[in-house]
Amino acid sequence: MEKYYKKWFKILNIPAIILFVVVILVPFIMGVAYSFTAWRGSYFKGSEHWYGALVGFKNYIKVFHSQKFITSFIYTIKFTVVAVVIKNIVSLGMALMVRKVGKGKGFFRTVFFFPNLLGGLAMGFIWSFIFQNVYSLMLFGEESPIHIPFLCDMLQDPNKAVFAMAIMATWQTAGYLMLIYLNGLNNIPEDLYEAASIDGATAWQKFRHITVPMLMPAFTIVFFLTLSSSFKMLDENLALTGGDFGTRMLSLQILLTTRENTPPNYGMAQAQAVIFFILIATVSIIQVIVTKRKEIEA
Amino acid sequence: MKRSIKALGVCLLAGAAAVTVTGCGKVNKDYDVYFFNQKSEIADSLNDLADEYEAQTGKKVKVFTVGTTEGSETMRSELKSKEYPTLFSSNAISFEEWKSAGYAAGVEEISNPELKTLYESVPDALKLQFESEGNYGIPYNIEGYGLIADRQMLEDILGVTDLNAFTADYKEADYEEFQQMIVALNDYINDGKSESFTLNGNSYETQSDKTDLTENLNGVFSIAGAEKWTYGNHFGNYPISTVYQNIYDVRESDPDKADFMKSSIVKSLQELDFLSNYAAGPDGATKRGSQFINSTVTGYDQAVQTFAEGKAVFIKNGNWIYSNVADIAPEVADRLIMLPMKLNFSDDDIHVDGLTVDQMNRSVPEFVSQYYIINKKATEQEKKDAEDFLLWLNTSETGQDYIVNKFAFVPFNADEDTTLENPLSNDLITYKRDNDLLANPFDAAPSSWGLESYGKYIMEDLFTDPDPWSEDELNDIADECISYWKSGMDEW
Repeated sequence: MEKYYKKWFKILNIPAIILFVVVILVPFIMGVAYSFTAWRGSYFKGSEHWYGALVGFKNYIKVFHSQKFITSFIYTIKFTVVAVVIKNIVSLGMALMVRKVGKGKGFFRTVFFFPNLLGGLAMGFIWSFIFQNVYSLMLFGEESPIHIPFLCDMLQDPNKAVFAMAIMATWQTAGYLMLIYLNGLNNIPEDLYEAASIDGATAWQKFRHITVPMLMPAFTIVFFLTLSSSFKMLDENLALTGGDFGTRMLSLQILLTTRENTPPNYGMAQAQAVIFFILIATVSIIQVIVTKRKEIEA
Repeated sequence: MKRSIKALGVCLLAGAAAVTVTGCGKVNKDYDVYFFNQKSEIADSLNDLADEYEAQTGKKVKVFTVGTTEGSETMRSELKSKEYPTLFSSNAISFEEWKSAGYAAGVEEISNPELKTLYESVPDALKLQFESEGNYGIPYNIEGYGLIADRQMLEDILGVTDLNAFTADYKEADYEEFQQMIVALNDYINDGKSESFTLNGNSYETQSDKTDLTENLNGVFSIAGAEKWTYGNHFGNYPISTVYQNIYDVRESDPDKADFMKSSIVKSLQELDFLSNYAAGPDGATKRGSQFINSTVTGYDQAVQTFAEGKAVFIKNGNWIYSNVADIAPEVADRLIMLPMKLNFSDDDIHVDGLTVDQMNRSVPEFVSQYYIINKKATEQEKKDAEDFLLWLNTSETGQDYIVNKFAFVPFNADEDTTLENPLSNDLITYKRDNDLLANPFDAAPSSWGLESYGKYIMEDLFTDPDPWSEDELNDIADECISYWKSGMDEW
């Protein structure tokens, strides 16, 4: 079998490579080129071809002067920090819980994983109803039995909205992340815990000195996934707040740039997309390098 | 074994190659006209119409419909594909893109003389012009908005059987009288006692008890506070109209002309401050605050429902709500009337030649939602087929029947004889006949002005604030709106 793979590896990869080149690489390169032009969606301003409409760094300069871009950038960072922390704590907690459960393990895993199967935008509208009606009017409103101001009108305040979006995003992805953690936990040999118990380690010491270091590979994956997905989040942002009340994040900012001018300024939107790509790439690479260093070979 | 693996590899390669090169081959078009429509309400009837056209002429029309929000994106890629639409639609706002990209055929390129005459018969105010030149499209229809009421409701409140005297006086009334009327109506809703007010100098009195219909009232207006566009785009048109006559005026004027809008923007906000105190909700009055913009309470559908169920006297909206109201209360839908919105402006605020506050207070804004445009880049034969279809649609008996009865459109060339099922559309025809029209210069505003500036401030800062809005705050908002407008205009 190994011989088979060795021989056919390159050929069998060709379809995937062709698809990658055609669907991702070529549009990406074109996109970078277009970000230097006066691209207006269905035409290039002042020319038939893109190279005739080059404007140099004008789009980029405009982006860095755009208050909307800067505020969405800051807001995106705020959300990412909150979301990464909450998602990790919740999914690791769920994994630890599910692992200990004896009966109905499969049931819990399915239930926790289930939200992950539902689509982002549609769920966003359902959550929008939950936050606006169930939370604000039925459960925690002024006339409700328990009045919790923080949970009322969460979508009408930028700080509360960070948590509203994080709650929804966590609910949706924690089940999936839980599976990764669960897999990591199952790979930790039991004898390590046994040995620690014999030496008299407490539960916290075991968690701190065995579970955490042994889980580092899972942490790397989960951090990478949560970091980039929070940074790129669009559906929840669009469905819950639509960017109102200063809650616009970068993806939505790029989307809305094409709708805020007539004819649409795709050149400027593309410049933002390129900056956005560089940001995500940098953050992800740094993060992978840092966590890789801490990984321990099991 | 080896052979079959090789064969598999070749198949995969061929498959991948096929994926990459699809779309480069020559396409066989199995239609004569491809019409890209952006008004989803008429999608079904349009397909029937296409069948009918094929039966009559033997020419096949392919119709493709995408609703307005995603329409531009889809049409952009369709226009660039091999199977491009030969006839497409656009509103006045997005038109510049299609024009600049070279897709819009002007009247001078129309070869069919009858269709040419039809293009030229479009009134100037409705023409799809561009910097006062060109004539690029045939209007789908005319739409308009104002203050909508249930005729029976008003008759019950006033205890009259004929509303004509009231509507005539209402049209002539000024803003102060309007305010008086709103307060009187509100008092009547709250205590059911007789209240008096004057309109155009004539006095009116509400009944001293409630009827089955008026008993349900929770407030005077149904306001969709959660929908920025209802006030951002439509209410915003009133202050714009005090400075700009029509969309061409906006495009051709110096951006600094926007400074003149300041006093009318402030006054329009003060008017909203007044109106929003009398808002009805599904259960009882709706107070300004976080609930006022909660889309589960004051979303568009909820607002229309509140009105249709007789819980509010008025709703500021357009003739398109007929079908929404008809779904909820068919008997109310047939009794709808459209009144002009009363505006808090004085003649000093108006910078349009010949326009007065009295005229504005009598008028409703009417505009063309979409135009039919012939694709300039289509082949001669395709253009000819598209022209024939467009002419047939707008002049043949079948086409006219579809426009009025199936699409439920007010045709741009409607006359007194045109009657529709929708009473609001019939009212629009009356306003048009009496020349009591405002244009819709909002259509030429920077495209996010309504939602990201004027409407956004109203929703985020004003409607959430239960206290009276201070003049300083309103002045600041007006300044922000104007600077947003100017920076948007730089993009042109």
